[in-house]
Amino acid sequence: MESSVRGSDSGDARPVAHDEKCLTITAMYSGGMERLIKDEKTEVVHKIERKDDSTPLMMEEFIAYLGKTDVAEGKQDMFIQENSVRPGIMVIINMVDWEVEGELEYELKNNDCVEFISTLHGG
Amino acid sequence: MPRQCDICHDARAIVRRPKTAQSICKECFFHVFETEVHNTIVSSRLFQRGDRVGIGASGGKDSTVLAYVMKTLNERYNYGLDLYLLSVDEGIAGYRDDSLETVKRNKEQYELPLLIVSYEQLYGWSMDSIVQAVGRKNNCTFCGVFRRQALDRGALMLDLDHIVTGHNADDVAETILMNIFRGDISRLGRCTEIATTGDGYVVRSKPFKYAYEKEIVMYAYLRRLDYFSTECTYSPNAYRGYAREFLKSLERVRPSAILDIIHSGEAMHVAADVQLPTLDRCERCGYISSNKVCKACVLLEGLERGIPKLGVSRTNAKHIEDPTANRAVDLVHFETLRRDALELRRIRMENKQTTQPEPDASCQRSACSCACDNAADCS
Repeated sequence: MESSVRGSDSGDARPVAHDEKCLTITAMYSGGMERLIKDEKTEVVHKIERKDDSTPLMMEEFIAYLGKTDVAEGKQDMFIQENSVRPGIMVIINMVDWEVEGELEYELKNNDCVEFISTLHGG
Repeated sequence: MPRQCDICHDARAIVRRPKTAQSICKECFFHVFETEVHNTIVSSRLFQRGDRVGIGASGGKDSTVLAYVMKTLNERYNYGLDLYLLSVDEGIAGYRDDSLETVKRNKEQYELPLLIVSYEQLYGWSMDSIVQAVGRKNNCTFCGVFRRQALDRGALMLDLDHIVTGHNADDVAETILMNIFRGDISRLGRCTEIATTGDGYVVRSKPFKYAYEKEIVMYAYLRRLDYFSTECTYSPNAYRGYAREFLKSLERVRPSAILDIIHSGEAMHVAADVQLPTLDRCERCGYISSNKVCKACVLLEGLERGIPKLGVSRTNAKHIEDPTANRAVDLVHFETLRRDALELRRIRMENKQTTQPEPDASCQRSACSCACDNAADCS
């Protein structure tokens, strides 16, 4: 999986003209989720290079990728369970519940914004 | 191709409801969520016109949404309730002080009066000082016991008829599971009730009893409500954590599981020949208790005498000696609180009778509700 995905976070400020092989995707964390993220960041912009433009980037792959890039050391289990997010984490793609969008089978597009909101934290 | 709303068949669907598996649009979601809470309130006859209702407010998602929805429904359906925000300050630096800032903003945003009662003020012990004394193992016991009583004390200070809390369907299902796992029959019987009378003075209820946590978070997200979400600084309640995780995993496979568990809990009845503890009043503070001395007073005594295990483990619970030895704060007796509440009520009634003018023809009573305390402002 690693070979097909390479990414850099928001630290990379070079403006990248959109080409089909590179997807810019924003991941946002709130509702307590940010506590699982390196430096407790609430927003990370990813530029993800694809080997070729015919390989779609699916949510399942993206979540595994975030588990490696964004999630703090030792907290992966609180983000990922089996091949999805841990139950109790709400996922919103471009302001739409991912359950409407096909969950793991959603195909990411350039400039998508994916929000992860924990529902597990105190009420 | 974006999916259309299963209800209005017009706007774009943006959320899938766990209860019904429908994909619906934002406006329909607001409408069904609010209407279901309204239906729960009406069918359970939670309130009476003129009730003084406190919203237990922590600044977290559930109570923030509850405050917003209660205010909205009270205006939309003209319940005629006087709403208050009631918060408990446990005295946990870096956690509760931050979340109380959210409650203070909610007070301004929703224009509701706010009362904050603190453990320090009520019991002479903040959670931070309790943890210093007892360590991080049993501190949740103290916090839970003290919070329940603190809300009741606050309610009497405001002379409330009713406290609503943000407990949602997930919380109720979780509590049912926990009570089953612990074999706690008397709590199992009580935890499914939407309203309890507690000590007979203030009713407590959960208008979100049938609302899924996912929908509450989605509601807060879509309405952009201002809430606070950080874990308590002290060790979380591990037992509840396991029950929660189990429930969330069940929900993933079968979203109706949460309502199904509530339904099962409601259908269970404690057999008539099971001896349940009888409720009486604590001989020290007058709070409702199944023992001679209530749990809060036993825990306090343990703290004061430097034996915090008292009341936490059962074997030690017998050694209750001199009740009021050097207490940090004189715990106000519930009879005093009740007397003061009745006095407040009497004064309000008198004011209403003397200051309320004959209904003015130009006065839109339903809109400005002349019966409010500042009737003079009503023109």
